[in-house]
Amino acid sequence: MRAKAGQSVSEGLGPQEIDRLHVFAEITDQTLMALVARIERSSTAEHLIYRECELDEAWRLLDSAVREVRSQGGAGAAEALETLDALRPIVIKAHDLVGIDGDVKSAASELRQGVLLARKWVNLQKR
Amino acid sequence: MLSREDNELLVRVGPGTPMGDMIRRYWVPALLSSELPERDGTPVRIRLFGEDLVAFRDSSGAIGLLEEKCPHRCASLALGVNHKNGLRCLYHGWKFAVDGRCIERPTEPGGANSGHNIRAVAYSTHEAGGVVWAYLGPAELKPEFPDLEWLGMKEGHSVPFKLQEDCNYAQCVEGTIDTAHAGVLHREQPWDAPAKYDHEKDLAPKLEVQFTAYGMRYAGLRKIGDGQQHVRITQVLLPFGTMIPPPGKDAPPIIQERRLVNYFVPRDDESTWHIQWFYDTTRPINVEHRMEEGGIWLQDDFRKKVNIDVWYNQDREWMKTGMMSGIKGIVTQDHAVCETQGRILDRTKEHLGTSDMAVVAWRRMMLKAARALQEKGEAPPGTQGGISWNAITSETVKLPEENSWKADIPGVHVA
Repeated sequence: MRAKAGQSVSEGLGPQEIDRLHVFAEITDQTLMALVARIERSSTAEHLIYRECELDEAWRLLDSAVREVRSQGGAGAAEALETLDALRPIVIKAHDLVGIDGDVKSAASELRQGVLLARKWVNLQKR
Repeated sequence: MLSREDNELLVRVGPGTPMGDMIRRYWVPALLSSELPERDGTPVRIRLFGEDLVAFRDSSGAIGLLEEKCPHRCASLALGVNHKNGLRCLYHGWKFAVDGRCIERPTEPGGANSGHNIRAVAYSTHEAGGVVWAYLGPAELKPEFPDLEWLGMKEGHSVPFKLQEDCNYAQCVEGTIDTAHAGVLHREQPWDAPAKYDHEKDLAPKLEVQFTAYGMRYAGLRKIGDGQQHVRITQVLLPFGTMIPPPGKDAPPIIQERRLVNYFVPRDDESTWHIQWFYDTTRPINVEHRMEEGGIWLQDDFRKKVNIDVWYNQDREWMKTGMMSGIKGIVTQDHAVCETQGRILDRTKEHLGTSDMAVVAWRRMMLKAARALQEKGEAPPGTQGGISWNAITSETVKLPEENSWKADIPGVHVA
């Protein structure tokens, strides 16, 4: 999902999308945008729990990626680690904004800042 | 994942801590009635929420729960004489009633009548379901006692058990609201052998949560073919009670309708009283079967005989041929995984999966309630009265896949 300029990424998301846990297997700009969209639409206490779990999953995937890059090393590892290290605090902050403060607006805004980094990470993996 | 601050807030329950203040607003199970079997009998030392207390049953049958140290010179009142409606300190004979009033000071001028202004710290108690419950919060804010489903049953249909778990209470709670672990840790087959039960076949149930005025309920949903879903609804009663659904019609008859309740009462920050009831409206509980099934072999102080010091007697051969865990008894299996997380789990280091959603939800409720009390003075959920406690129950049902459990099995006090 990719929003056009001035458009919320959450447009078009049905209530059922919000009221369930979304499963994803990798960190990409697309998954982060989709997560931003669900965060923006979340309003109930249950929604916030689902979003926090999704952000837990995002953090777990990032942590796994860091370990893998560290163990494999090689050319480009430094740049990859730098990218992932920049992305991790963004996900953690978004997680805490959802979990502790229930502040979906700030959480979505925070996570948007990670989208370009996630795209860079995707491109680095293609090299 | 929790931040370090949130983890500390969750696990510390001593006097004056935000979480400690919050959980003290509830009635909690403290000890078995059978520990105080007779009037004027032996007092019992009990640690609760990091406080050392002494419980005694007086001449009238009333139960006192006092700070263990005598207010005079701080000797243990558990050494004292329990006689004629009071507990008398062995050191100088000061005597205390169940409400903490000092009713005699024989070594002081005036003797019997000289103690009117002295009080031992005393907490309210209430006996129900074979257990002595306690309220450790401010007396003026004491909530109504909850008339829970399993507390008023026919003799033998609801039976309490108690044992000590050697880790922080939050780990214990999280272990019982984690439906996914049942098909792994309690698997009655080696890992590579065909699964025996539905919950062993589908190891990744879909979870859904619903918050309520007393806590929450959540469902583990598993597709079982023919357009049907297997639904297990667990209730969570704040702060640390869990109501586990019965195994259902596919289980052996002796346990089909048997429900389980767990309370994980902090003994201190690093150990927990695991108090559980089994109850069944259709038949009496078979206590011997349960002790064997659970692996509940205890010392006199309620610590497990099969514990971390003997590595839970894990049998590597049995893991290849029989029980995946190699550990005898469901309770011992549960305690093994929780206790080996460490006395206090560092949640900044964990990596949660989607199956941990109920765990996340419970933590958030606890943290929110503690903060709301600390910052705004808001009473914790379920402590303001008006809850139909008796209507709260756990369920195992089969529903058409397209149906919503929230609609088909409506809860009470849904937020």
